[in-house]
This record gives sequence, C-alpha cells and structure tokens, in this order.
Amino acid sequence: MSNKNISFSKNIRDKHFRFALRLLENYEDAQDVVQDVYEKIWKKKNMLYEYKSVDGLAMKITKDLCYDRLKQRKRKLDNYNESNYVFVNTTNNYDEKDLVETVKELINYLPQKQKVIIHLRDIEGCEFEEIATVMGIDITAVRMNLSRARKTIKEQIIKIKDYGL
Amino acid sequence: MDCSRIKHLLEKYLEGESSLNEEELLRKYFTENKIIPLELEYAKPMFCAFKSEQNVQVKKEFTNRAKLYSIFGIAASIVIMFGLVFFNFNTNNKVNYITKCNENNKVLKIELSDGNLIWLNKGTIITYPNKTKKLKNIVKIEGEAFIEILNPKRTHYNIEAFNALIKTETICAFNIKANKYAENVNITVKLGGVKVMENSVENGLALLVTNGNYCSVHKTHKLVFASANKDDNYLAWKTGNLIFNSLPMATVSDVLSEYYNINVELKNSNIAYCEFTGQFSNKPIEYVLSKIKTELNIDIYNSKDLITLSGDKCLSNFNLKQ
Repeated sequence: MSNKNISFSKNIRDKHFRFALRLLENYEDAQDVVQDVYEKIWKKKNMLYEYKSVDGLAMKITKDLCYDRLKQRKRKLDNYNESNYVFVNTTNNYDEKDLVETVKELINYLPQKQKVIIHLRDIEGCEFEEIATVMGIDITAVRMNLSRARKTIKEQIIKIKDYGL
Repeated sequence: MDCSRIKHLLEKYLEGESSLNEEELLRKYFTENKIIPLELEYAKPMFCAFKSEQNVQVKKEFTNRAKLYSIFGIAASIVIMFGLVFFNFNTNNKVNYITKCNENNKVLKIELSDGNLIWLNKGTIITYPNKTKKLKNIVKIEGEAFIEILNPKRTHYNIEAFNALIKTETICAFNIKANKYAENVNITVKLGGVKVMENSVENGLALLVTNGNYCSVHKTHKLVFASANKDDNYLAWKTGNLIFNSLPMATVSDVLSEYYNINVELKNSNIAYCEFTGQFSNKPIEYVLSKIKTELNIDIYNSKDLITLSGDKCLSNFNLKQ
C-alpha cells in the first residue's frame, strides 16, 4: 500500500474543485484550495496506507481548508440560514433553462451543512458513509440534512412555478 | 418506467432514504424524458441542475508555486531593504515646521530650503518645513499666497488651505486665496498644473488645474469647481499692477476696494455697467480715481474710509444697459 498511486485523474481533481467552488463561490480561491489539498496529501504520501480511501481524505481536507478560508473571510454565510429567500420574478414566465439556473442558485443559498451534503450526494454521487466521514457527523444526520435541502429546493421551485400541487 | 414508481422513488428521494442506484434512475428519467407528469415536473430542473453542475471543470493548469514563492521572497526582501534605508534616512533628517505670519503692510517673500519661493500677502499665516524632502512636503496656508515651484528636483508639495488640498508634482506657479471669511478657496494657476481636491472627502476625485485656469473649493459645500481664469488682477497684490481691460465699474470698484483695502461704493446702478480701460503700476488710489473721473466723467466723493462714485451716464459707453 505504501506505493499507492496518488496522481489523481482529471475527473477526480474536478470533483474536488467543484466541492471547493461550492463552498467558496470563488473560482480562484477554489483552485488555490485544491492545490493546497494536493500539497498536503503529497506531504503525507508515506502515511497514506493508514487511510481507507485517498479520495475521501482529499475531500475531508478540501472541506477543512474551505472552512478555514470562510472563517478568514468572515463571510457570514450562515446569515442565509433559515432566512426566507424570495426570488422575485418579474416576467412570471420561467422557462426550463431559468429554472435550472435558479436551482443552482438555490443550492448556494442553503445553509452551509445542507449545501455541502446536497452537493456531495446529488452532484458528486457520494455514498452516505463517505459524506458522514467528510462532514464528521453520523449517517442519520446526513440523511436528515439532505432531506431538508431537497425539500427546500422543491418548495422553492413550486413557489416559483406556482403549481400549487 | 411507470409514473407511480417514479412518484414513489421521488418521495423516498425527498426523505433522503433513496440509494445511489435509485437516484441514478431518477436522474435518468428526469433528464432524458421530455414528457413528465405535471405534478412531478418540479423535479426536472433539480436533476438538470445537478447534471449540469457535474460538468464544471478546472480551467487552467496549476502554477508551479515553489518558484513563485522564491520570487516573492526576493521581492519582499528588496522592499524591506529599501524600507529600512528610507526609514533611517527620514529619521536622521527630522523635519521641523516653521509658522510665520506676515504682519507688515508689504508682501513677504519666503525662500524654502530647496529654492522654491512663496510670496505672502499681508495678514497671511503660513506653516512650512525647514527642510524639504523629495516627497510630500506639507505647507499650510491661511490668507493669500503665491507659490513658485521651479526646482525640478523638489516638486512634491501638499498645500493645505482650509478644506482644499493642492498637490504639486511638476514645476508650477500658482496663487492661493484662502481668506478666513470667504466662502471659497481659490487657486489660480499661472504655470504648469496642480491637482486640487477637497480634503475631507477621502479618495475623492482630484481636479487637474492647468495654467490659465482657476479652481474654487467651497468651504461648506465641499464642492470643487474649475474654469478658465478671466481675472487679470489676481496677482495685483504681488506685482502692484492693476489692469482694467474694458471692465464694468462694478468689477473695477471691487478690485480697487480689495487692492487698496478701502470701501468703494457705487451710488447708482447706471454707472455699474460703465466700462473702464486702463493700467496702473504701483500708483496711489488718488491717482487711479482721478483717471477714472476724467475718463468716465463721473463724480467721486472721497471721505475718510469710503469712496462714493456717482453719475448719470458715462462718456465711454453709449449703449448703457439699464
């Protein structure tokens, strides 16, 4: 195991980048973080056999570094928590494309934890165990947060489209 | 796939109970099917958004940071070295400020240590450094002064007059009129150009005032205004030359009262528009008045500290503006 190959493929690197971008909402910062993550892993290269999956480790480091950066920025992302985000639509005529963009926005407006979890699950297709280790919470909590996030997005879409199911 | 199964899966999905395989089914269904039951349509943008987000990629290749760090290191050490040199240089030559007030009835000429010159009108207070530096020399002025910066090696001055801040960066010569009771600080540029800004608005715009123009900074409204200079007599206090080039008497009386520090009053508005032309060089007020009297055929009463001009019409103008 000590000779584990840690050169990530482009796909995996993009995954880490997307994760960082989701948290930081800034292209340059996300790239910086991903580079930092690989530096850290490179320094640990002789101890990697201790970890179950290098990818999981990378995700955890990405998350930690992003959180550090967010703290540095002192951006109160949590201000959005549970606040009522109202999307004002002047045309009242959303087509499919607008709605897709709106969903992307809605993900970013979710509370931090939910945002991370829905990103890892629905965009990156991670298993619950993986998410639980990255986030440092148990699987039930992951499911609960995920469910909340998905329901919030659903409700917002219905509000916008005014379906009134 | 039938609708009820999808509906069931979607409910599971919303509760966070679905497996990755089931979610993959849903994703496929919603992104590939065009016709979706109305009640489930809300899920389509969700899965489409997730799918499109999966395609976000790193655009540029990573830079070699180790190299960059070393360059930054070298750059930083150079900056620190320069900083230390300047710091020592500045502390060794400590600058003292001199404050002077021109209490005489004459113009006072001050030569700064670098050879640049400042003329002060009577009653003007100035604060200036005894040694000038290469950058940022601070001069404070209250009253009227003419500043001539002709030493090309020492051109950086910050001149403060009430709320006006005048920055010089090149060779220039200009007049500052910052009287205590006036509403404006006026800067008239004779040579080169100066930057004028309002001091209380930080990082505000600076107006570049070039030769032949004047700039006015309002003390209370904090406005900065610039225009072409039409006043020939702005330097009369320094040169002693009064130039009247078909000026209306209303303006002439203002110039005279300021230059000779007396009150000149026009008794009737008829003569306010009479135009007067003439030049005087260091002449007493009596001489100027007699000249005006003969030229325009108006009456002049000279009492102790008030001069009154009166008359019905003047010789020089036939088209009086009433």
